[in-house]
Amino acid sequence: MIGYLSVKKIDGKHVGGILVVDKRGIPVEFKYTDPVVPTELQKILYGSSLETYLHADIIATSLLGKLENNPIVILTDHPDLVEVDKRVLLVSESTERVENTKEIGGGEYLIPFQGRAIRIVSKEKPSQEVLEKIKEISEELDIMEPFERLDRALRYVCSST
Amino acid sequence: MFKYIKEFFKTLFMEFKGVKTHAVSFHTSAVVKVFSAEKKSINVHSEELSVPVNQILVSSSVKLHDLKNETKIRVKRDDLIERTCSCHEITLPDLNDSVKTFNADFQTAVISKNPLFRMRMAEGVHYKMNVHMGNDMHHIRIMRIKREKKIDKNKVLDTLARFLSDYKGNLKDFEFIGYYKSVPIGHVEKISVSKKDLMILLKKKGRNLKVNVLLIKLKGIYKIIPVRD
Repeated sequence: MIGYLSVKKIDGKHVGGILVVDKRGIPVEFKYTDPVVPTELQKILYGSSLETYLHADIIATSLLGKLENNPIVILTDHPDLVEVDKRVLLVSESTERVENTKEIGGGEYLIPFQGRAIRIVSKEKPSQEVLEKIKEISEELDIMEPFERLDRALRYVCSST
Repeated sequence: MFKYIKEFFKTLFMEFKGVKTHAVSFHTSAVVKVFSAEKKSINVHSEELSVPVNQILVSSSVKLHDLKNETKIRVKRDDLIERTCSCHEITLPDLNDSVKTFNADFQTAVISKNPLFRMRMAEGVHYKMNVHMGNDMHHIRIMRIKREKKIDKNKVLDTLARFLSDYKGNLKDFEFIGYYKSVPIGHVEKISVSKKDLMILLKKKGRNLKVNVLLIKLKGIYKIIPVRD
């Protein structure tokens, strides 16, 4: 299983979700938060740290705390969330081409994906097992695709509240 | 003559009368607030405090005639927010002197007009996050499978050759769209095509089955052909 963690700011509302899929991409678990609209007082008190605090310390931490399954890795498309848990890895598509998993320094890796690569950034150095698992899944599945589903679901949550 | 006599007595009268000074008191209220973000409702008590003040510096911009009864002066100190200062029986020196400093006997006290009050927090500053389960939400069950850029030509051509050998229609009606890997065919509830990508609505429960497929169009209708390994 692989987890996908994302936090969005949609129309001034902050919302987060975590989607766990199996190796075929079938959803196993989906949890989401209530959309949050910061008050003027909260904006003043938290200042520029508001979004990081809200996204990482409140939304992502709450979601991970409620997770029932235990995916081997949790991918995120949001840089702030890497700090939340050592299982959380920031993933993005790279234009570089690599044949094998390659460490590019500073806790960053390139893993082959659809003829190019995905770039992985982590808080702590991921184990070889985790890197192998990501490579294996990315050969079978569009590893970035579940983020689209998460995005659609979060937009729906925001629009319906 | 009468005019000079009148002026003489007037001057004499003023010299004997001297300067009459009224008691000067300064009143101002102090409200001590304790603000806590952790509690929604807090009680605040303020107690009367006595703080000695030895000296009050009065700005040179303050004129003597400005110091009247009920004049308010705010004295700021780090340990208190505000204090009330009352000044009694100040004898002012000669009117001609400029007065900048008082060394009189001052009594000060902190006074709260609201010795006990309740404060309600209109809103909290900390967030409490509700997390919901959304396993039934169909948005997470719509999977997009993109057309593969790299294809196994032998497998694709072999599959197409087998299909076309049974095909009786006109080749002009035949169109190849793409090759798609790892389609979870055991979980498909519905398939649609969007910009040459497969959009699959997944069933909640299904068989553990996935295949590589070709997508073709025959007379404007999409058709999926499984690719044999």
